[in-house]
Amino acid sequence: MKDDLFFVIPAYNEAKVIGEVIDNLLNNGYKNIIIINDGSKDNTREVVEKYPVFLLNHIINRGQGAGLRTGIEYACRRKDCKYIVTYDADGQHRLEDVDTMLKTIETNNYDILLGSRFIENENENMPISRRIMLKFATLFLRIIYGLNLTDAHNGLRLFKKDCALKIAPSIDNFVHASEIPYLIKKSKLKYKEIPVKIKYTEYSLSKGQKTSNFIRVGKYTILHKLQMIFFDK
Amino acid sequence: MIFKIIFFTLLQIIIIYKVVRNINKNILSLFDIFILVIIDSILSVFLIFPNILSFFARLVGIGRGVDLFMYISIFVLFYFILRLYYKNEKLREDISKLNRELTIREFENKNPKD
Repeated sequence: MKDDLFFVIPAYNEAKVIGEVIDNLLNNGYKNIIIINDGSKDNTREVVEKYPVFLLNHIINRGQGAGLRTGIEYACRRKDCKYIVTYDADGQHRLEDVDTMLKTIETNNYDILLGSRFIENENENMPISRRIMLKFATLFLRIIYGLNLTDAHNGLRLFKKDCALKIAPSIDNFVHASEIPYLIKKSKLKYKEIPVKIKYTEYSLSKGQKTSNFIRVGKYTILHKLQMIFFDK
Repeated sequence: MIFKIIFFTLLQIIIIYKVVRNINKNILSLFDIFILVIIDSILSVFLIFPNILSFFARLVGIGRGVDLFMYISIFVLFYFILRLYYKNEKLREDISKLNRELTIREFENKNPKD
């Protein structure tokens, strides 16, 4: 079951934690790990090269969304791939949640499973400012795109290879997190949200989305919607 | 009225000068000249007979002809800015595609077994 699952992990200046994340995956029997080194300026590349993983090096930094798409496109070219997981490089996701998602997709007819921090037990350790911002972003996306999701900006997703290219983001930066739910809706894919927990550490919070980023998400989302209206994208 | 005549004459001289210069340089095509003549004619008519613009303004419920002209200009400029933005986005997408293809090819060349 784990042999046909590919992890797609975009990494930009993650030398401090990427080794730990890869170790954790390898120790739990996940062998197919695609790391996209998105033009890191630190020694992320050197750290990852020590591990038996697929390391794709972007020549120039293009953003998390571009990194995800590179990983997804590479995974789709492989014959041994059946499922793809998008996973954050800062080590904030739990492998127990991936296991749950894998079991769910194998036993049910879903195309994509999305992690959510806001169903069932909410993350107690989530900072209040982050909680408000995420709730606001989710409500905003619901108004703009009409998506019925509880947590639109969760990096943990598991999906079938067949539908991977339909949801591969075209937006390079972090706004891809808003684009993916829109692509799911556009492609009429069968999706479900799975409760997940996020490990908030000082490091993950410093690397994560800032309040100003949410404002940029709003701006880009409106521009994206206008693009669809006026230029039929 | 004198100011209007001076302004209109100066404007026409500048436009004719620019057009003739660009025709000599082979920059403007016949189609470009045709479009320029139409735009210039419409604007000239509005400048000489501002009441026509006011008539249209009243039709759509806007008081003055100049206001109507300003509103239309804002919308047209907004549209062009948006179009420029999306052309820029398309360029960005193309750069990412190129970067992606190079990255995957480099990896596949280094690891032919994979």
